Amino acid sequence: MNALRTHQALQAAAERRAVTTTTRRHVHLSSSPLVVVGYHLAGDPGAPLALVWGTARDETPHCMVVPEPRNRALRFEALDEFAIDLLAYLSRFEVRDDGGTCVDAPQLVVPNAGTAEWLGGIVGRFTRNLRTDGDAPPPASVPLAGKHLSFFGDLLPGSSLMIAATDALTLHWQTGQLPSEDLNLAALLGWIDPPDGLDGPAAARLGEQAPPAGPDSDPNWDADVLADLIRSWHVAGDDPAAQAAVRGELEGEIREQLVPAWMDCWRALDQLVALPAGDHVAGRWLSDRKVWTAHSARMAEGRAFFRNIPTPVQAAGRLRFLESRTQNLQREMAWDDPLVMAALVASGEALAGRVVAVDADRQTFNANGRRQRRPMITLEPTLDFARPAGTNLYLSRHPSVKLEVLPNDASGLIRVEVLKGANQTKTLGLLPTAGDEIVLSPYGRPEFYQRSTVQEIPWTHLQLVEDSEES
Amino acid sequence: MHAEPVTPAEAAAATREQIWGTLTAGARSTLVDSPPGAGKSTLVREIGRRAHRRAQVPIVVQTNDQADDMIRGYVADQRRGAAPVRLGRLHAGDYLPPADIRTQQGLTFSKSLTDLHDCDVIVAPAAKWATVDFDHSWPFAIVDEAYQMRSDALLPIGAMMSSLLLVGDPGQLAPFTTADDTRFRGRPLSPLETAAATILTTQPETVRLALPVSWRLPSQAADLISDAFYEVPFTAGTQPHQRRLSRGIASLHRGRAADAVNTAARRGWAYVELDDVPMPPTDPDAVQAIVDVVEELISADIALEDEYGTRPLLPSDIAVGVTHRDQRDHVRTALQVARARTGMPVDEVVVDTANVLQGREFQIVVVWHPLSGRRDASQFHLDAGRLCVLLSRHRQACIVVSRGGIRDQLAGHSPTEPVWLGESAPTLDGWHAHLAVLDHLTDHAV
Amino acid sequence: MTNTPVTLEGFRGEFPRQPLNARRVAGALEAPGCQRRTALDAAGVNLDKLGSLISGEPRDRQSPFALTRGNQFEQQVVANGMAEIVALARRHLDLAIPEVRQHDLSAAAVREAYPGVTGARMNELRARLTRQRTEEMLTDPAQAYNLIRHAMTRLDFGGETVYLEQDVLAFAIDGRIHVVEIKSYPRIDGRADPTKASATVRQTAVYVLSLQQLVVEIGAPPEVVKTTTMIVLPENLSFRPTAVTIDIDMYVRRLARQLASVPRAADILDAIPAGTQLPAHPDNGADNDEVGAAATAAREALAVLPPRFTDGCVSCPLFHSCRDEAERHGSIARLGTAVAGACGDVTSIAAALDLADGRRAPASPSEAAVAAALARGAAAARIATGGLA
Ligand code: SF4
Repeated sequence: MNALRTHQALQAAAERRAVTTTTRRHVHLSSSPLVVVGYHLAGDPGAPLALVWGTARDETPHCMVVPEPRNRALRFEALDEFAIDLLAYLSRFEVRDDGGTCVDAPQLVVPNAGTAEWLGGIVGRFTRNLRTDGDAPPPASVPLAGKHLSFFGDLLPGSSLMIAATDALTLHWQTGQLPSEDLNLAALLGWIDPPDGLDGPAAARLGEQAPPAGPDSDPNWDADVLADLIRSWHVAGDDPAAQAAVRGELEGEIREQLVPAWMDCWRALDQLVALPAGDHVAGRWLSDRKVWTAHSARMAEGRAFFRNIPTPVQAAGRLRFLESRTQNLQREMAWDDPLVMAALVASGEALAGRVVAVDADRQTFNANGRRQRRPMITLEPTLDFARPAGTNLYLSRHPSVKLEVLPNDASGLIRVEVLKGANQTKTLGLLPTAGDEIVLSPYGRPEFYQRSTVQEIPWTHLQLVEDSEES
Repeated sequence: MHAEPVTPAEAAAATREQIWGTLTAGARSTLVDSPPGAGKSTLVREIGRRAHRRAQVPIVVQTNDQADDMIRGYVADQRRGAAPVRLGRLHAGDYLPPADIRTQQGLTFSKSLTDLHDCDVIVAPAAKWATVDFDHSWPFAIVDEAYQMRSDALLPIGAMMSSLLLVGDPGQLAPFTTADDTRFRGRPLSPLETAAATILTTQPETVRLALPVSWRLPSQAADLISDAFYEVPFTAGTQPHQRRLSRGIASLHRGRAADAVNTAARRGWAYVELDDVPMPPTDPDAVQAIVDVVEELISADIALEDEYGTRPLLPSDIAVGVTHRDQRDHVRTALQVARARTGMPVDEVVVDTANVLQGREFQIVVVWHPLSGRRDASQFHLDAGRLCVLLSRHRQACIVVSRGGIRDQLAGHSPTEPVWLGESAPTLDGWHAHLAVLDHLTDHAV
Repeated sequence: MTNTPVTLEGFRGEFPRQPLNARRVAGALEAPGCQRRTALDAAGVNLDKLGSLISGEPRDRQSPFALTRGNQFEQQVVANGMAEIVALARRHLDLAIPEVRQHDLSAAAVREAYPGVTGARMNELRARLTRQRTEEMLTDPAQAYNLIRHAMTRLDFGGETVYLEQDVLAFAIDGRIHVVEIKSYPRIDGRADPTKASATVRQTAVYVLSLQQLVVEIGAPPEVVKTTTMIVLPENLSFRPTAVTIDIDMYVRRLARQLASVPRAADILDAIPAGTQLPAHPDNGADNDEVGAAATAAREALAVLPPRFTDGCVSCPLFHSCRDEAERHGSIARLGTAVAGACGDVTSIAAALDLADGRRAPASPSEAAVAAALARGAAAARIATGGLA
């Protein structure tokens, strides 16, 4: 735990309210997100019990219930309602710009990572390949929605196509409770935005009393309410009036359980929207739009296939993407946000200071004895800087400028020389000037390596599949 | 029946012949486990030298430094009279050949394979092999450090090479990723597992052998490291009396640092335990204690005696092994300051993290214990590979510096790390290894 | 201090008991070093009931749907004379199992055979029967039962012998005992929830260790209890069983060492005032006053037992009350293991912030280091936000 985060946690506990850990917002927020919350039957993630969704907070959200979640036909009948709405929502994001990229992309907002995983990894995974031509086929909307959900379940870091509210909030705030308690959206919001008259811990306790945000329901509610309702459904038999009554009652109960979480998602968005967006957020959203465009093209052409188990070649490619996106997100957040960078300054990895002098014309000799221009910047550090000579740093304002720390003298000043990025006539303008307050960070521009791609799985990664009981 | 080999050298030679026999019998994949300093590089070079007579042999290493070291090894072999081999060093565009081998005869540096077609052996890091045109093919190649290599890096190798000898040290730090790895865990052939693990899964008939003798570790260290970290036991190649540290000059520092050096000289181990006080990772007292030990080592005019002869200890014979990069930076800075103050070349000592030190060898290693000063042992700090790397780099002696209280820390830790069913379960428990090592170190406390 | 040390029985008093099972032993080790929890576990106190009583929130319920599903799966897997299990064991454990001769040692089954035996004597009886059956399995593999369900073994916990209800199946083939664990969380596309799998593996290790201790008592080497265990899970969303084997040797050895460092319950009780006792649990029909009085009495009894609040506490039934206590004391432990670790010796939130702001002079090198680090963190934030933070 870095010193800044530790201090923020202590501060949050002492002030009894969450502390902001960023000055900017690092997620993109859509003007018309689709907010979804839901439950599955306890112990049976393949049996959705209810979903509540909507695109406008001031409208009553839609609600789907499955009166007997273990019944396949009822499940599909209910999922159809959601699927049709989801498809309609997504179809609003088909308009392309001149370059062929969708001008806007959809955004799904869910209360927590658990719900995101459930929708993508279970609901999407087990509906996307359903055949609509066999016996008792599911409605055509269900596998289509399954493919979309699978897409939303398989995004990279930095993507805002799917937002899990607790993840987004903990990216921007630090509470004074255990990290695992932050997974409860209502409690987390209590710390961040306590209602009048309550402090963070009290509001968090209140939040804990609220029904869970899913995808697991409250076991007591299961025992006291749901069990009876499912029993009544069976008692109702084929009587449509009795069925309707049970459905109505169940929907009422579900709304009581899930609408608070649905509203909390909107509250989370309110908190986030109040922060100004970081400079790189737009760039990441552009790549989201591109990813969405590609997916929607594959859907249109009927080519949206998902593998249940990726091949080694696919997994390797995926990992490479994931690594570079993780790294980029980390860097971009630090460049965009002085408070994120401050954590690096606190840990001593970055150097904050005032420029005392800049020698733009300084020259040194390289290994071959040739002269080279190596401008030198002298800084007065704001906080002690204890990294050794030879450490590489980059101007945080211009990460293309690579620097190296020079041996220090007793003056307490830090001298760094420019290795590249600001040692040619056309780039010298990137050098700071005396008096500037600057930060030198460990983050340079990411480097790209050209590499060939393996097409077929080579012998080293071909596994003889033993016949298994899973077949 | 062959007669049982009697000396360590005979045992090692027998294993090498067994490996060569396996290769010539046409095994598609052979995996050789090598404990620290068991002659892994020697084996790779020897096999390269023997195999090139049939076809050019690519050697896949993991870093540029390892590639350059492999080349240096061949050069040294030739100086000692080994058959000359035409060497190719394939490299990336921004690589500069090191000065000591830049102009070596019989060695070609190039960023393109086309310049290297008449070389007998081509050495390059896996990352570089991943950039060549995969239409190339070779009947046989050698992969060095197969336990440091990630499975995804083996894909291009498998695409070009039709049979492989993989060698590596199973006691090293496992490959890792900075990204969230949950997506890849618990799946067969995860890109994050080691190249060695992948080969064992896909090629069940892989011949697996182990080098039996560590030529690096002194006998006082070999037993501990073998017991605590290795499935297949190994022994030291030298007798206790063959390795000796003797100091020429009386102590610079009184007390702890001098005792540490004296104890290490006598026993091959020393454990410097600082007060049991929780401290941040960059604990200034621990930095100071390490600097004191290094100063003491350098000022004591130490003579190294081993099976090759006697010579003075140089600063570059010493390494300081740490866990975090900021620890490395603080130690380096403190050594630079110490040099400015005393003029002693203490900053020429190698200071680095376990990740960077793995695969390297020094005469004396000063270890900053991964759990020093912490209150909570985390999975990262408990990693058995990290501890093993730090404690197995030395030929003569290892001096461990730590805050007290590690035993309590281990007792208070609750190992509840996630378990991915279906992945091969770890055979080595970092928590356990730490306890075993601590029991041992306590005997050498100063 | 006290002349008459408190005994475990005396401490528990009339409060309901609940024998330990592997889940509870594994759970206790998730929050290691907590004297409060150790004393309660060693005394076999019903922790769920105690937690609900003092926090006023029911914590002892499980969803009936999850229970049903779990039972259904288990029923199916053990049906038809264990046909599915036998097939899986043949294939995954490579066992030749000619036939299954199973024996049920559950309390219900034993009560039928030995009517009138209750309470502690029941536990002893089941443990004795388990030992007998196991001995026969090892000495007469051709004739004896070769599959035991619901066995009862013993385990040393905090210096006390506790009875352990075995949920696993123990198979004996060729004089070797193999443990099979049935769980109902799914394995989807070959992957199971790693947190649940971690808990399963740690629980199974408890069984394996106590079985090993049992065979050693019998005079056999511990290795006859194999550490390669088979875990049976539903495949994907179906009820079809799928099995994975895992060698849990590492977890068994770890467990043995962890158990050895559990604080001794007797020592803990020695240090608390004589007469400390949990109240009786209020009856179902008890009014609010009675419940309130019992809750207060329970809280007072617990207060003398030192807690050790960590991240692992969330799964402890006393979490809510210990959390409140940590919060009342302004303890850094409340913020979790990472923050507490970063604050070293400093244990109070106010003290840490005072050190950071220079309102308090550090009293030790550790405090000085914490003060410097926190002050640096605060300064970096101030600079970043232009003095606003
Ligand atoms: S919640 Fe309380 S009793 Fe339970 S382990 Fe934590 S501190 Fe101990």
